[in-house]
Amino acid sequence: MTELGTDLPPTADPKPPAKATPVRAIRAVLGFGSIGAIYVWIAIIVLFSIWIPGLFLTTNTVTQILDEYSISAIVALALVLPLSAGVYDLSVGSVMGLTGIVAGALLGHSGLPVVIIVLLSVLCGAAAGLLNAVVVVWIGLNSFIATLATGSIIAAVTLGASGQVILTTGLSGPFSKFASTSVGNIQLPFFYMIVIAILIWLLLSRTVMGRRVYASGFNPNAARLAGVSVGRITTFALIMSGILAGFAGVALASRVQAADPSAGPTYLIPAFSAAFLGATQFRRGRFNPWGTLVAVFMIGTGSQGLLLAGAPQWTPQLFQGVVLIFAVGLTVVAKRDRSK
Amino acid sequence: MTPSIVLDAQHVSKSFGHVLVLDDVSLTIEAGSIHALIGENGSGKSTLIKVLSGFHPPDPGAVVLVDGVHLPMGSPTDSAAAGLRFVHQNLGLIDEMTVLENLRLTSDLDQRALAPTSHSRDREAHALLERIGVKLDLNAQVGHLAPDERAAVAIARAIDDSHGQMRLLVLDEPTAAMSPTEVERLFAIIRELKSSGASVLYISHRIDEILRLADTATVLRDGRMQGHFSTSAVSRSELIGRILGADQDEAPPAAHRVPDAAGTATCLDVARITGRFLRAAAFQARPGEILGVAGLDGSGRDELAGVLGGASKAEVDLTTAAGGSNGHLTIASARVLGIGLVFPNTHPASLIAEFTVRENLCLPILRTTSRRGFISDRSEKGVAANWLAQLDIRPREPDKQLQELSGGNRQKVALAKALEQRPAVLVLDDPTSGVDVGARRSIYEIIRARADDGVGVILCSSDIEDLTSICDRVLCFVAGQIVAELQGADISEQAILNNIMSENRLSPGGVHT
Repeated sequence: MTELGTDLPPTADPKPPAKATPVRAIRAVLGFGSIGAIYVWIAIIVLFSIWIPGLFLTTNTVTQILDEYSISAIVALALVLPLSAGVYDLSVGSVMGLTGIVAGALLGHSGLPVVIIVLLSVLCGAAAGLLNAVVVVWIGLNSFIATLATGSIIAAVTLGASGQVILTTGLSGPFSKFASTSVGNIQLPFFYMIVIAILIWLLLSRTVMGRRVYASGFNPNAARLAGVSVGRITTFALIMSGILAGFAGVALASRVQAADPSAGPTYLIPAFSAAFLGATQFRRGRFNPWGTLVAVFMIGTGSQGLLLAGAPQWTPQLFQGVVLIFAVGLTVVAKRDRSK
Repeated sequence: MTPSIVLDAQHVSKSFGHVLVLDDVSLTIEAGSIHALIGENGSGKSTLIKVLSGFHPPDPGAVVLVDGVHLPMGSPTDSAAAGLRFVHQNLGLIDEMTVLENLRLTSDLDQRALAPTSHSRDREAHALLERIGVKLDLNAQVGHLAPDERAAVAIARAIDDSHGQMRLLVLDEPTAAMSPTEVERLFAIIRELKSSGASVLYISHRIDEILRLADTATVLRDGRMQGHFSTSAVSRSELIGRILGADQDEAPPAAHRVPDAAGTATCLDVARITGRFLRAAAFQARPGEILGVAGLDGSGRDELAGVLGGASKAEVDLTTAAGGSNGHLTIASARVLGIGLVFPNTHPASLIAEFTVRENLCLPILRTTSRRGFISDRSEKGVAANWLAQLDIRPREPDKQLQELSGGNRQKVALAKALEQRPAVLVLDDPTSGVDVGARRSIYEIIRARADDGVGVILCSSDIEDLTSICDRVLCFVAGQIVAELQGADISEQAILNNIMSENRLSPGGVHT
């Protein structure tokens, strides 16, 4: 029976391990296949530096971009855990709106200290995450549909609770310091974002939990066979994204000093774009915090540049779409060529 | 006058590159008969079918006549127009659709969009099913049907005459996933077809099925025809001899070891397993022994490994040195009992393709390679380096992505992953599937070395070579029960095939040899 194998040339021994020369190592880390988005980002910076040097090349632009996009980045980071675990969380936008309104309502109607109000609001985000976990893990619905549904429910509850108005009472007081205090010219959310990214990075790359999150996402059956309780991992990931999205919602309300029940959903699509673009960077095929941050700020830089250059209102959105295709494409094509 | 010939194929050869897969094969089928095409995996059966269906053009020189009319080769449309209809092994049904929708996919039932009311469509569909003596709810979802009912839908769809009359129905291993009762029901359908005058070409490697069902048979081995038989005039053993070839007896002596004595210690005592296919199977495994498990698909052989490892549900009553279980095994409880499961590397749940070798190896033992929830790079690298060296996994790069490894090396990673948990009982399912010849040998050596260390190995395999090469004892499964136990020198391809194809020997209530 073994003759059947002879139709193929004798299988060569697997190639001897490629010598890990420094050049090769550097290429692996700095090549388009690994960090295509960073090159695109640099290209964008160069482009606007030539186009509108006076307006673009200022520290003001830098702080504006960091302040403007740090909250978007936190929402995108919130998605990294559930996406790594193989589930969607489409409710993050609604959860942002919910926690903003909860904070606004508490500020208007209770005399609780700001710290407690922030904690309670974020806790509502955690509760929303738990609701997602109940529907996804315990009832067993597909996460895309389940979180679409819970997102819709949460958005409705938020709208009802707010009385369909933007809450501002009490938001301009000490609460606004939570997100608008500047340290070295940069507002606090940027630093929150950095801390969250570091924590997620540590969790995903250094801990048992993180390894199990990736295992559940890549191949839940193999993970189960290896003793991972995939349901528990999914629950954890969804609660974490609820907490982080909730945190982003509170930070947004604090930064703009207003709780808008419909503020959240606009963050959803850019956050997903960033998380998916991020997954093509640094750690091939894995959702990861640093890739996600690069994606957010690459898009942010371009959008801000276009606004400074006086481009029409619709161009940043167009730019987002084009850049997403371009940056992901660059990475995918580079990887394909290398594997040939 | 001789009975008319529905299919007459002469001088069919097919080569891929330099390899001749079909060598001057001829096939003649009388109208109104059931003709079987038998051969082992890789004997050329599927290639011949693909030539007939127009999927592969044959090498020049082939002549195929359907009802005496020359059939142009290499065109699926021409083959279909000539009346050749094919039901492939996977049936080609869409599980999410209903019976009616599946029937309509390829037929005219729905194409005359304006004319037929849904009522008349239903009637036409019912008529199709009636021709094969089957009644089905047309609105049932195909995914929910039993295997034989699914086959019925595929057959009904194939015999639909709306694109011209069917001349020959070709069924490619239709019983692969069926239980014996389901096979019976399928046979009833095929006989019904025959009685209505249809001709059938039935492809299988199950000899008993063929002897029961077919009128005539053609045997293929290594792409060559081994003869044309009337099933009423040929014996089982002669047929098996033709399938395996004469040189089989001269196979190198296998490395079996006869257990020292009966009554040596057992490391796994299975009192009863009943599952989807398994029917109260009972057996024991001993430390240091490689126990083979043979059987056709659906015999329980394919279910056993997953059940013992806690991956598939079944009612289990078993004992190991670490304790016992009565009821359902889970992955965790199997692990506590010291049972390690290795799925074939081709199984989707075997390994994580996107993970590195190291991550795959360490996934089940993260508790021991971490401290306070943080993974220790050093201890992971230690584990990986140990197994890469011990099992000669290449390349020796623990951080290589698993999907970049060859099948043989992937299989070694799967083995290492289970061995790292130090199982007392190692359950292997098709350990050499998707593995090339050289790696196969080293996998055999790894398994033997573990047995020598005192591990009880249970090797379930659909590849008879696995069983004849390294097993000390082989259990033959038919219909979920053990019909024979072979030991030492009694283990031969012929003996195993004889037993696992011996469904006739099963008396309704019980099983003993």
